[in-house]
Amino acid sequence: MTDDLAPDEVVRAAMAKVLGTGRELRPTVTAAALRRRAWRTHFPRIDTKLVGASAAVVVLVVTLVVAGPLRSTQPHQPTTERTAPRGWVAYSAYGLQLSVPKSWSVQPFGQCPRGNTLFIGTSQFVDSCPEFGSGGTIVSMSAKPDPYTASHDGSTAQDNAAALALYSADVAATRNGRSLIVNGLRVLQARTGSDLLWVIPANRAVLTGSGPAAEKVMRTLATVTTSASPAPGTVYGTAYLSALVRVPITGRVTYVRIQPIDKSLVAHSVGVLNGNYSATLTPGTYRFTTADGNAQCSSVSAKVESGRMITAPPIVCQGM
Amino acid sequence: MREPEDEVAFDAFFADAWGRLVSQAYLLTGNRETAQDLTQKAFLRAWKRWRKVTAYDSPEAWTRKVLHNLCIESWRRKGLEARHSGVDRAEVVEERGHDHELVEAMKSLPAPQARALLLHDGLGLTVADTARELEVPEGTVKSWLSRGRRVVRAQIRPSQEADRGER
Repeated sequence: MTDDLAPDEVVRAAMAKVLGTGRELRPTVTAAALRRRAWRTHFPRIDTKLVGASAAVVVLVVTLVVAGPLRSTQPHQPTTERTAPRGWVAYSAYGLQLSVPKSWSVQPFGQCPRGNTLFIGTSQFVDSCPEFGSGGTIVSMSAKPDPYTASHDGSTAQDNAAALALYSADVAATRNGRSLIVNGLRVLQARTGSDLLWVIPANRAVLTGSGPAAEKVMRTLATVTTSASPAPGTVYGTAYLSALVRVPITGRVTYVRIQPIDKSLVAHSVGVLNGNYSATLTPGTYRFTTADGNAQCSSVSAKVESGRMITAPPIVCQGM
Repeated sequence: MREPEDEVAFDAFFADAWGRLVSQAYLLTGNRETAQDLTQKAFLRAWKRWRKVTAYDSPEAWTRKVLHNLCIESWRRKGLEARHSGVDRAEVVEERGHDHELVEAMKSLPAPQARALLLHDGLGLTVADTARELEVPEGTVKSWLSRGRRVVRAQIRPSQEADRGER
């Protein structure tokens, strides 16, 4: 190793020891099991335990808020209402809107921040993102509880636990945190250093922010108005040929918006691979169908909502 | 659709790289179960993008990057939970002793510094390779290493001295 920086033996020795301990940890699943999990989680089933647990947490929050323990013993300190500065753009989801400067990157279900970024919906920005932790401002707005949030990617018990733990932290945060009124909305706030966590119980929404401009952006939170651009939602679906056996379809799924109706009546399409498809669409109700040779295929409809991931009913083609 | 040869290649990659990656997750989290879970999650993500991952020079470097980011995200979550549930930060790390002190020292660093230190001093990458993996200039890496070591040394020194005292 050619290196012009002298190694620090103390640090290296300490690291070698811990790495040695860690190397003894065996995987709790085999590679094959992991591969199978990837298929299962590509279009995950709704985790009933998570739904139940999330519902319980929501009930707990509502009960505590209504009964009083989480209500601040001091009168709320209404904050000065701030409208968004001129030139900022408002985006909406979950009955809320948030405004950001025009220069910001706005990413529904985004993966990597690009400069100052607003994520709407579940994001997975930890994934190998060059700008992760680069000092820009990242604000995210998502809905809780959202079964998909926990099971969309990893779908492990640990994910579910982490999602619930975060939510529990939200609850606990109200002991040390604050209750705010922001533009008429009741917000529970937890602050860690420069990171902010806001829970909006009435909308079951969560905002997180980190970076220098996070609080300024979060202070534009308000009940949705018609001037805000609705964030898109994502629909996941399956399509298969039902013959002697069930065969996943690969090809195209076409869709058209039926509510509010797309007056152009232009149908769009999206690829379906091995029976699975997904599309991120503006809010509305859509009808989806596909074609598979001479088979008769059903059409299904699904309602897409801002910032949410939904699963459409399966498209079934009847073969010979 | 993945081919059988993809599965064979992935299984071989998993068997080969598991030990190296899980040990890094353990160093960054200080918790055995979390390290195993996050490492499995990183491999899961690698499999989901296997064709893309194998097109890179080093699939392990890609997976390592994902893993490090998962660990750093875990710090944030656990730090938030600990702060707001009244749990002492030290309790978040299950392991005790010197492992714990090193892990806590690493957590006290900004994430890029911690990664630089792990890659260079832990895994033995050169400054140039570390800079390439972190996508920053070499000078930045040297600066991070220098500052990171100072912080880590200050926090693990008492244990090291205790070690010597016991002998």
